[in-house]
Amino acid sequence: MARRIRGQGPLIPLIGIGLLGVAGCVGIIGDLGGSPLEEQTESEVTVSGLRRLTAQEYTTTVQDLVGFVPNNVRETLPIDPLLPFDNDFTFQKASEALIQGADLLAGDIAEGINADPALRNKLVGCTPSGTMDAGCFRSFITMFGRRAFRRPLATSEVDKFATLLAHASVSGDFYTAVDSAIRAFLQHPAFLYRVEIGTAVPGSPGVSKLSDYEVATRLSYLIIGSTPEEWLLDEAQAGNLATPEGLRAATEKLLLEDRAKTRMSRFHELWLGYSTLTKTGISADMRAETDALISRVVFEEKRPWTDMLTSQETYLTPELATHYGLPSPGAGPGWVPYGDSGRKGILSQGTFLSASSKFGDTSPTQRGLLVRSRLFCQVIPHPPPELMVNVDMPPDSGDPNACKSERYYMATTTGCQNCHRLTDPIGFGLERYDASGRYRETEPNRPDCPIDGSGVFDGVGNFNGPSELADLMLKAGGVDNCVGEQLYRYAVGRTELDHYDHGFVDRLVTESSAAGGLRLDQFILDMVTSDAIRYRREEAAK
Amino acid sequence: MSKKFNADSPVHHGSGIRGRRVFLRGLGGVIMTLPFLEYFSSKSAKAAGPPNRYVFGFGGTSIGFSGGDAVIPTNVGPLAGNLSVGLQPLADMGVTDVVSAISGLYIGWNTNPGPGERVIQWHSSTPAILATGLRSALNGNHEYLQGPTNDQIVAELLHAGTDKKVLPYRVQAAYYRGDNGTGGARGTISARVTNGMVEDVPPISSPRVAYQSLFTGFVPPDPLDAAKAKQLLDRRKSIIDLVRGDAETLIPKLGKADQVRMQRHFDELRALELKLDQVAPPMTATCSQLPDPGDDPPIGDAVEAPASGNYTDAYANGGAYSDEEKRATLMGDLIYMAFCCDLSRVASFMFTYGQCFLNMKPVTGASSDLHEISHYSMGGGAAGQIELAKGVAWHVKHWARLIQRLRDTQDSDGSPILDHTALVMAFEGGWGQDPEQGTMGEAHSSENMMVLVGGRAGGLHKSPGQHIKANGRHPCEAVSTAMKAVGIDKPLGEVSGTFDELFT
Repeated sequence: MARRIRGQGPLIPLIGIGLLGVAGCVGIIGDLGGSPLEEQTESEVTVSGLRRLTAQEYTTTVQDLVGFVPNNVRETLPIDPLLPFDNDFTFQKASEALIQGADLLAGDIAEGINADPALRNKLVGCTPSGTMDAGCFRSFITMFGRRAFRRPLATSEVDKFATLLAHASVSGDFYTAVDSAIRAFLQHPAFLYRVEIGTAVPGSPGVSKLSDYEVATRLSYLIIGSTPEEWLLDEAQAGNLATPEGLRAATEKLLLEDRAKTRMSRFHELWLGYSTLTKTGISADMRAETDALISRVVFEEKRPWTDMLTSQETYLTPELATHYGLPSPGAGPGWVPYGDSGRKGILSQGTFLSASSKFGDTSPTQRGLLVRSRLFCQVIPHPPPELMVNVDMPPDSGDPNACKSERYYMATTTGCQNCHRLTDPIGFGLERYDASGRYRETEPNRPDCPIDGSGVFDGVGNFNGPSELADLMLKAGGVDNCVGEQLYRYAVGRTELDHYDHGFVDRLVTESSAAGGLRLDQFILDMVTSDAIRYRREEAAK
Repeated sequence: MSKKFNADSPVHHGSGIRGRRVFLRGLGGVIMTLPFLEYFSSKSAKAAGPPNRYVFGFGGTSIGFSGGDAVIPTNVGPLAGNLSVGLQPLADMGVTDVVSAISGLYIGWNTNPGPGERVIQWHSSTPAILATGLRSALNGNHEYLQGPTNDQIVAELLHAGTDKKVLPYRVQAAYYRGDNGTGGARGTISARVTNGMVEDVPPISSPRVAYQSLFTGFVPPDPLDAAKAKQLLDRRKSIIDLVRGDAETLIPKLGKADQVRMQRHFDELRALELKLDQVAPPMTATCSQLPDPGDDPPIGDAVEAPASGNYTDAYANGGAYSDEEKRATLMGDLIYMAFCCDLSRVASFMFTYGQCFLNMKPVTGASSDLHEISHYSMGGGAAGQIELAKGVAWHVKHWARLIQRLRDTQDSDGSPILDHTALVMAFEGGWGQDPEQGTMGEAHSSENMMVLVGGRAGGLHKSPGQHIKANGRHPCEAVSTAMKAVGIDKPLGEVSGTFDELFT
């Protein structure tokens, strides 16, 4: 694709250089955003704002930073809204609950570190010569601060944190000051938020070029959901993230980490709505089943995501195999072929099938809605007010003895059918699989109500069961675009996308699908090696 | 969600009158005592009695279904000896003389709501109205608070000189359905106006956080512990000062939208810093530091889609519950002690989310959530109504316990604190016509609503508590009655009127 330069050629860079010279005289490091952007790059720069670490990110970040994490993070920090992702920064609000919670957790962590001399000494990185060893304290501040803030501290910041050494003089213990510094770091805005400031790009109002450290932070949270490790900060410091090649190398390295798999699983559970499935018992086995498929398709075999829909085998524990009525893998967990069971891919798994139940059983409407909204990115509106529909009550055909297929009358009723014909017939095609993925042929507690399992994907075809639905979804087309869009939402931390985003996603999906179907690893690689990843667009004031 | 707020609204900017003193930590550890108005306000202080206090309680449930209820007293007149299952805790706590139940209340509905009315959709259209007196928003935003809530309005009048303008507590730890997340607007019942914009105040749902927030600065009685506590407090002040300073420095470097976010963060840090700068009030017979509650009970799982596929079993196995019994007790204790120590004078005591999915198994023994009970999960008719009323009673128990303790505790002038306190307990719905379904006698109705008003502030309950049947009047009139008792004598949002008979 031809790329054109926006602006007036060499004039603006010269101005930039001139300004850089002036800035250098007053000690500002770095340029003023460099050259004007190429038109395509500018059109793909995404809006970003202050992104507070989610409770999940807080947990992983603290774990990576200090080596342990308190077990009460979820209870102590405010709950993150799920939209469906937990990281939409436009919905994050500072509150007393947040400030006090962060203060409490910072204290918990600092006390935990001080209670473990080996850990404390490792984090401090030097042995103090005395209570007031300013050199050792500054060394600790500099080293720990770089990890905590995900960038080097300015000298003025080190100076400020170094004043906390005074706390050691009060207690007569050097490590009191260490405790204070850790508390300060862990409730500092530069820790709690991913702060992107960058430098203004000439000729592109509202667009800023990120520092290499800010790019490293984007990369790290996108791929492993945690703070950049030392090696990545070193790459940033060395300027190696300023080039697509450097970014690619760093990305490929990150994608090899187990945490990348964990992050990808987190994306899937939020996206497909099973994040609240418990992590014990048979539910844990279901999670392991889906995680194994994600790992195989995305990371190990690097296949198109749609292979998640068509996988002919699945990873089961013996208990889960029994639960589903599939062949046992043997003594331990292993891959089992679906055979002619009517199952295929993730649509057959307990995770996906658990995600959209209602009124104590599967909900054909909710399952259809899940497919339409999360896998095709279609917008199915809530019932309009004039229909006076109560979505919190089970559908009622008026006959108390009616079977479920009769109670869900909405797909054939004037006023309701415009939406419900798009959702309910999809759900009814999955009805032979209950909310935990077990096969059934009659309704719960209603042996007189057989389930025929036939479904309709409006405008595409008829089907029965998850295997045939998967085939129709591929036939319908559009899954790749939606998968890319959803991953992009998660990456940028925004549910509502604008025209800049859609153009960028479309290009990424096209390029990442070049080998025949969208590969998520490739999508991430293409995204982070694009020019746009190094820029941010300022959010419109509200 | 931020919304612009029409300035033509009942936002008050009054100055409170406070007879107590606020203690400020001086240089070199010297303790200074200054009349609070000399410090917080340029207005002159004048001697006065104890300050007023105010509590807005909320329960996210209807009180009846199946064409009736087991909550509203059968007879109009004195509450004593006239209680149903749902209000029995008032008698158990011995507070029927200082609580009145106002029933028969009604919120009108319309596709294009008029003043104080709701949209047709039921969940959760009424909590925002109960809290603000303002009509439902359209375009699907009917769950959102559209203006300042009654607690914040009262706090504008009462808070001067206290540590906490409002204690925004929510007992139910999570939504327990779907993603088990925030429940959207259903988990928030307090909003303030800042720079002309309505700003939700996210509640504190962690008792540990609430405790820390309230008792920071209190000094343990043991001298050794006290010395350690003082050292830690001094360190925390210095730490927060550093963090707050950096937040302030960061703000001008950010874009406009981020400036708003960081400003809010800064404001909250500043509030913590101010809290740390104040020395706790002296321990007295009534004001003391409560025991540390320790870690919060773990947050329970949602139960919408149990792996077993069996809905009822999920409740029997303990989902959708985070020991709300303990949480309610702790938060009630915190409000009580905050009032005793004059750390705050206003509380938003949200027991349950709108459309409450709290598991009732550990609470009342019913293997169901409260919402489902209102939809016949434990049967209809009298049997089902009693199960629902037991859930209502759980709210009333904790609300009444707070009243009891305030009544049994002396204020600074020797009178009961309850003599200077007004409390409201409102529920999401009543029972009756459900315009969504076109049916009658249902839980999804804003007919037959009930609000409890408690306390003796401003002359409330000179006569023993009553059951008042107020057919067709708006529940916000009951809320306004309690507000009037503590000094706010004007309409709540778009709703005028009070039940002045409670002052006789």
